Amino acid sequence: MDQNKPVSRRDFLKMGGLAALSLPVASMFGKAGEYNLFESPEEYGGFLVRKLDKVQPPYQVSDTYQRFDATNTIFGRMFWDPKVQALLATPPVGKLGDPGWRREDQALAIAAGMLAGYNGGNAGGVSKHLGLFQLDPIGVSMVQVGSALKEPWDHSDKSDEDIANMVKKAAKFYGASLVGIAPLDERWIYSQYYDMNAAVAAPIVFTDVEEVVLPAGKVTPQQAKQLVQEELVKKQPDAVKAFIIDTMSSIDPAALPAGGPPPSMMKALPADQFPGMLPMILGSLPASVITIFSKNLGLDFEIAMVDPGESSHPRYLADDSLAIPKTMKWVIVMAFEMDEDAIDAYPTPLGESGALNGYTRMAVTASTLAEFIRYLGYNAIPCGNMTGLSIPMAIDAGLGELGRQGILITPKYGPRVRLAKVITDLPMAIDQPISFGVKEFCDVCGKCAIDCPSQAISYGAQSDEIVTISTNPGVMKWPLDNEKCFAGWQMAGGDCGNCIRVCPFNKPSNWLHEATRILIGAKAGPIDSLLVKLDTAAGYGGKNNPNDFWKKEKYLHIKE
Amino acid sequence: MLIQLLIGALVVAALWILFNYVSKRGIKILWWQWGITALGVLYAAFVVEVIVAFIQEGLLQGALVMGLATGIVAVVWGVLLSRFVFVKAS
Repeated sequence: MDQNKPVSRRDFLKMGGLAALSLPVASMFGKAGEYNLFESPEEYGGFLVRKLDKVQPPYQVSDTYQRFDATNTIFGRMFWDPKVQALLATPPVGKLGDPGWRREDQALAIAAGMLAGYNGGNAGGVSKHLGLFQLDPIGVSMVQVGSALKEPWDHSDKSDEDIANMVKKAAKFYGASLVGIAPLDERWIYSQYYDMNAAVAAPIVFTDVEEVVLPAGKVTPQQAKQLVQEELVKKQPDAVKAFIIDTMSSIDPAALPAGGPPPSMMKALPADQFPGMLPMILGSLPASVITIFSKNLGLDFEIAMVDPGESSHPRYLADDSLAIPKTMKWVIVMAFEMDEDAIDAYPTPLGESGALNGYTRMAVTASTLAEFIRYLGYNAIPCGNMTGLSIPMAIDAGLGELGRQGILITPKYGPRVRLAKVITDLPMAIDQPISFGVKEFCDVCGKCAIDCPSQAISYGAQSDEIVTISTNPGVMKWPLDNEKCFAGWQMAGGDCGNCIRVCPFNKPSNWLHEATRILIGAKAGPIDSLLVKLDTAAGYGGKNNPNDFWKKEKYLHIKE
Repeated sequence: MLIQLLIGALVVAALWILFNYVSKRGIKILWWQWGITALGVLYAAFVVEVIVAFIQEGLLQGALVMGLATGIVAVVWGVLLSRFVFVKAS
């Protein structure tokens, strides 16, 4: 980690000699060894990637490890710990008008994060599932989407691999840059979430699925809607229209769902449209209104105000605990590339726009993928940073390895990603963890530690040392001083990602870097050490000019 | 892409010029000497490609440092070839 020393004449000659000789040699070793260079250049960006055994992931966890409490994350502590609250007063190092701190830079950042916190949700928080991250379906209910989607999904012709590929395709279609699937490891689920609005913590529990049998004559609200619909379609369209308008006119408007079509609007619609609109109309109505419909139709049943399938759904219990059914055994982890030029503007508010844009895409994609899975008839919990530790889940899902700066390093985008996940009970084939030389490279590199504005990153070897109460104990890693890191965020005017900017794994896609990645994948210490020197000598991670962001015509690319 | 085509054309042109030079002067070059020469020309193309890649990334410092680091090998290669292969043979 002495790359700040000038390059000696000896080093200089070594660089030339190495460049001439090592690439073909490493390529030969790579192809001959247990690595697979050509597995998927699209996914792995040219690294020699080795797939690991599912039971031997590239991290070490103590046998006495206990689930981490989100209350103790720096974002939880922001709401209750005076020590962290005092850090909020750390003065920023820039002022309005400085490069990266101009009005347009800050506007770009704030707007980029708009949907990340939509309707009470918080992609970056460790709070409740609200807004786009809510536990229940967001869109139209199953009754509204038509009969085809009401039937159970017949996937008998599909293998678990087919379903995994389909889910990955959907995730990328909705906006993910990388997708992996892992078995849900309960150790990575927080023991408690921290409700930032109420400033209280509540447990996250795993619950059994219990079958509830309804008494004779009682039906669920969904079944009631189905029975009412079946009765109405027996009538002529004119009669259906008249029945619906008369019934809804007799109901107190306060009992009707907000945003639904008022009776006056329904009068204007042609009668022949009503039978087709029944799923949409009935789907939006609460059980109390469906009861009135059924009575007016002369149907003889009672709606049970209990969902017999409730225990199979993720939900908040009476004590506000988040209940995750034990049947939800899979997690889909998605990585979202952050814009290269925005990240190059760190540590400024303009740099933060890259992260906030990632948070918005996390919210949109995770919630949309969850909705897709719900329409297949399965449960899905979309998560940003909340509910579980994203990084070990991403490692389990084969998206990358842990870096010195405490974040995920992916082969294709390095640390320049944000992570979201969807926990589900949809059975799928899982991916294997991967190894491509990150630990070995981070051991000799340390550029992130040297260039960290708040000196929060460890210079030493991996350990299970507890630096602050925000350190997750029992896991071997380069422990981060989260308090110093958080102070660095304030200095940078919002958040700081300088460790992402300077990381040698953060490189664009071209032949030069793909050649270097082959050398890193070879896991040869002396080569890694020289590559770090070359990286610094070439000027990577040096002083940047945030104003360049607005001049460049490179854009975030999901597909090349 | 255009620059890669240009570099490829330069490689072919360099070898062609060298071949004409040798033919006109009746210099006798052994097969393995041609092999070393061809590798040298390809390596010189690699050096140019490295410089171009850094310039395309907007990293002039990288182009200079890595151009020098790899270029010095190409220069030494060229000097040795001309001194011990082409000049000696003529």
